[in-house]
Amino acid sequence: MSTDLSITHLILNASIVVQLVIGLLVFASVMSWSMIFDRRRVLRQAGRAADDFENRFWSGGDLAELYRQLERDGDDESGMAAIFRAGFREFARLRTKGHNDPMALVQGAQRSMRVSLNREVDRLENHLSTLATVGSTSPYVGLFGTVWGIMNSFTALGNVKQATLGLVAPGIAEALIATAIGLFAAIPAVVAYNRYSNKVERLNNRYDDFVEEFATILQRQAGN
Amino acid sequence: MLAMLKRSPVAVFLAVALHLLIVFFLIFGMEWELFPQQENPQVEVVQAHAVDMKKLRQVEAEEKARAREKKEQQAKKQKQAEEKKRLAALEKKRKADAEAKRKAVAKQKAEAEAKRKAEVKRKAEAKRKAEEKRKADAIAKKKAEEKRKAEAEAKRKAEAKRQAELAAKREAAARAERERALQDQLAAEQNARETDRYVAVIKQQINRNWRRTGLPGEDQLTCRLRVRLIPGGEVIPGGVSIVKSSGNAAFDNKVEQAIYKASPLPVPSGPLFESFRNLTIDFKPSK
Repeated sequence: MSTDLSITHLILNASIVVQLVIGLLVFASVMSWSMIFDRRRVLRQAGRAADDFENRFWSGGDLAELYRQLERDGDDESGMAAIFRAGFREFARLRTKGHNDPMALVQGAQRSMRVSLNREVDRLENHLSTLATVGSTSPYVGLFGTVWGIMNSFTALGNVKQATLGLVAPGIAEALIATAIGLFAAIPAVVAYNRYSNKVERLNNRYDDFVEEFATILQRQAGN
Repeated sequence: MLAMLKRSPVAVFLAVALHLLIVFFLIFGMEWELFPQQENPQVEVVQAHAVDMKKLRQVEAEEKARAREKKEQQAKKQKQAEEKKRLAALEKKRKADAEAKRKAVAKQKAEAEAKRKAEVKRKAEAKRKAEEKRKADAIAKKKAEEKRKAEAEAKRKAEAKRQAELAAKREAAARAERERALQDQLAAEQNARETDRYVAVIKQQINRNWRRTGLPGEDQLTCRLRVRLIPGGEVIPGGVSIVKSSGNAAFDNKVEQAIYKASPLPVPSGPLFESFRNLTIDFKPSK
């Protein structure tokens, strides 16, 4: 009997619906873990890049020099550097076109930086909603599998006169596996979602601060 | 998922590896005790030898002879065994018979014993029952006696009570009678007093209506008259008659007229009036 109650046996002997549910949940779990690893890498990179860039930015060098350097490095730059480039490019373009109103110059640069910031944050937040979805729905999916399995188990029970524990237990155990897998998929997804959305929020704040600071600097330059 | 795979294959690979690891641990962790039995099956090693054909035949022959011998021996053994079995069966049967006989005797004995015991028991039971019945009878008799006594007592008591009640009734009747007599007497006395009072008042009224004639010695005259009255005190006309004359006709007449004048006389109403229907008055002039 103990061999019949091992997890592999239970899954292999489960009804097709429960098996489908289990398969779906395993897929969701794999997907959510993939996203977790992916986000972890992306966010860490973004944080590090922001640190680097802030160091370079505040080291006191010429901003135009910094811009040229960034242009040379290639255009796969992201994060703060991308915002800086968008802002500076717009500023320089407006200036060469002969706009001399400092207010208009700074506003144009700020608008362009906002767009870039939004794009960056969007890139960071990518997939986080999927994590949230997995975290909130997979327990229900697992529960559905369990309810289905228990229903089947009871239907089978209705056909016999003498109900024994041995008759019900395997069915219920097999059904409960679905809930277990659902929770297994959901818990890391929820934890990761909370953690990463918090991280994205903080990066967003940093970007925001940078935009404001840079706009101030540009205003000062435009005034000269 | 595919886009994910394209964009960051490392992450997907890590995730899949993680799940495989978990599944592995689940399966092998759960079935740890079961596996050793399945993994080490008993391997039978086949041992081979090169053999000579002749030798082989010889060996075969020997083998056959041995087999035959073995078979014979087996047959013999079987026969012996059968014989033994038969004997054993016979013995068993004999034993069983003896046992059955013994059992039958024992049973008979037991039955006899049981019968005897039952008889004794029955007798004892009967005796006990008789004794019980006797006792019960005695008790019943005693009870009946007691009941009879109690009834007699009750009857006696009831009789006494009845007598007492009768006596009390009689006593009460006598007392009532006495009371009534006394009451009657009292009433009569009261009536008499009342009547006297009315008579006095009537006499006074007659006196007021009487005119002196001025005859000498008039105040010493007295006459008795009978007056017939109707309820209310009205004097029936012609209802006054002289019973005993005073000896002076003028005086008698005057008194008669005074009575007619005084009508209606003050008389009581109700039962008291009866004595006033025919009233006899002794008239004597007052001063």
